[in-house]
Amino acid sequence: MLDLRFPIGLFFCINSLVLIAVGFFQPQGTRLGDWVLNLNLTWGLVMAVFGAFMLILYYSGKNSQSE
Amino acid sequence: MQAALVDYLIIGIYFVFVLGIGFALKKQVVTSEDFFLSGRSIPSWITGLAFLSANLGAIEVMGMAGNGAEYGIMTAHFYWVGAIPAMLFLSIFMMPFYYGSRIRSVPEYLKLRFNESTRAFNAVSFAIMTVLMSGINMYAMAIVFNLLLNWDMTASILVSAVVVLAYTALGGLTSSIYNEVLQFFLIVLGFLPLTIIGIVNIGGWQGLSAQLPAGFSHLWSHTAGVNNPMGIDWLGIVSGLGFVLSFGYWCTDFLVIQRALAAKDLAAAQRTPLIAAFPKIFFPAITVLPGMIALALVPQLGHNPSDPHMRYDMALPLLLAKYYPSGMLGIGLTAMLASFMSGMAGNITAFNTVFTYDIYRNYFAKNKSDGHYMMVGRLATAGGIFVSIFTAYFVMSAPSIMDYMQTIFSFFNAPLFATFLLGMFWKRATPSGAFVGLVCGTLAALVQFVLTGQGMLHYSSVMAGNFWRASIAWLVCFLVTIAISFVTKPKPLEELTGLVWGTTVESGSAVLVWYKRPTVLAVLILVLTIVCNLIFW
Repeated sequence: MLDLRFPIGLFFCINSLVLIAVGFFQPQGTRLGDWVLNLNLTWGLVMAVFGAFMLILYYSGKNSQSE
Repeated sequence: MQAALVDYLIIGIYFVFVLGIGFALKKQVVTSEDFFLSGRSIPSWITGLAFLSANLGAIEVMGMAGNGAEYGIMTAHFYWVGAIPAMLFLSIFMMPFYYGSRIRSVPEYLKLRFNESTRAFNAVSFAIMTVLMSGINMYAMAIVFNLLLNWDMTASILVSAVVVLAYTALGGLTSSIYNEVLQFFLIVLGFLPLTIIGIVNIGGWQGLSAQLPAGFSHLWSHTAGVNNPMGIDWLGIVSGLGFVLSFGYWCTDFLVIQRALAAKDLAAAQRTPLIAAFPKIFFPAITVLPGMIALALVPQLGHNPSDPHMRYDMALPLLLAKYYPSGMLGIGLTAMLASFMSGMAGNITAFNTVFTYDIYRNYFAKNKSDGHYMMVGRLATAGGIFVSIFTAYFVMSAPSIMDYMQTIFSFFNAPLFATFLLGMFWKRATPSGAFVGLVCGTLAALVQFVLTGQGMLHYSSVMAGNFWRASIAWLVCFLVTIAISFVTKPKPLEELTGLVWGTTVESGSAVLVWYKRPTVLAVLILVLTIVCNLIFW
């Protein structure tokens, strides 16, 4: 059966790259209280961490199955 | 804010993934059991999140935000009085009967416990309900894409219909469940920044409360009478919503129960609603709260029913347009799209199972090959989606999605819950009692609905009417079933084994470590829910 952690991890990694690229090349400010936040860049990084975490879980599960 | 190329790119990536999952799973769907019940082989963390996500359609995402704008924090009653206790009850008391009896659908349980007529009545009413519910998701998607992308309403409906048809027809329930889990994470990560930005910019909970009408920031403190945003007192909330509607939905609706039936064993099936209940406790933060923030920012929201872009249901899309730049707007729109497709797919997969097993196989073509039923399941998927396109237009007549949905539930789920309660916990309940009770309960809801429409009955809000209609429908079904059962013949005890409380049921928790036991998890969830009620009292 397809391990769901792989498509989830890949999906969020790809989208995080898109957000980080947009945040880097076309920065736009979003007000957050007294701060101005580059939302695409910030949330792109959060999503990258989540996507990488899912991929790590997938590969570690795959390795432990093959051992 | 209008969508840019990057937003379309993100939507495109999402479509590639959902279709890719459908194709990847197609070769693993060999038998009809694989197609309709995922071969009963899915781990509980996946079925748990799918259990939650099948309900994360337009109703939850747009409807709860819309309700947040219409009724304030009282909308959280749907979670903290309604859904959570019902999910715990399902896990501890009802799941052993559902899973233990190896049924493939909820109507099938009614056949085993009562008789064919009760099953047929439930199967037909459930099939009608799922296509009505699926239509809600289509309608919601159409108005959002019309507002934010300027897409034609019909084009939006057709695009979503084709994609859901493709992945559910390819991979059956597994495909639907896998996409629901992907959608769960997308919805959480897509909407969480909206709540954070909104609540920080408005000055926190205190700032938000100060900008809302009186009573909008309290759960219980204005419910001694009906002078509160929802126009209903605590008794109506506890009986209509907390007991009848929520238990009716979460404990008898095959759409959610089907996810638990796909679990690999009884313990995993019991854990499914519990795993779903943990995140569910916190969901008001990304559903109800944005609606309240939207009302504070756009006070004219909901005041002009003729403007579809100013309906309460538009609270969340309006916030997306206000706060998200291109890029994040694509994520937010994709999350919304995902929620609509998730809601639609959940209803359609439940519909094709009930149609194929409980209606087609039973009344039209017995003893056909497994492949034949799988083919019928795929055709039922297409047929269900086709009918849903038309039911999408019914939603426009209701003040909001939630009002419409609870109206549907008060007809179908409320009386059914009485049938299940008596069926599972009272051996004396008879087949004739169940059938007549169910029909009378549904008729009671219908009569009350007509009387309200004619102005002969009046409630302070549409939702208050739904709660009371549900309570009365439940009570009529409950009392009629008992009365008829006393004068008709019950089933022999040996035919009720594993179907009624007090008969032998396989125990799923005996060998588990303490922190995996359903009762321990349930107590923890209950304590957290009580704390939430106290915080927002």
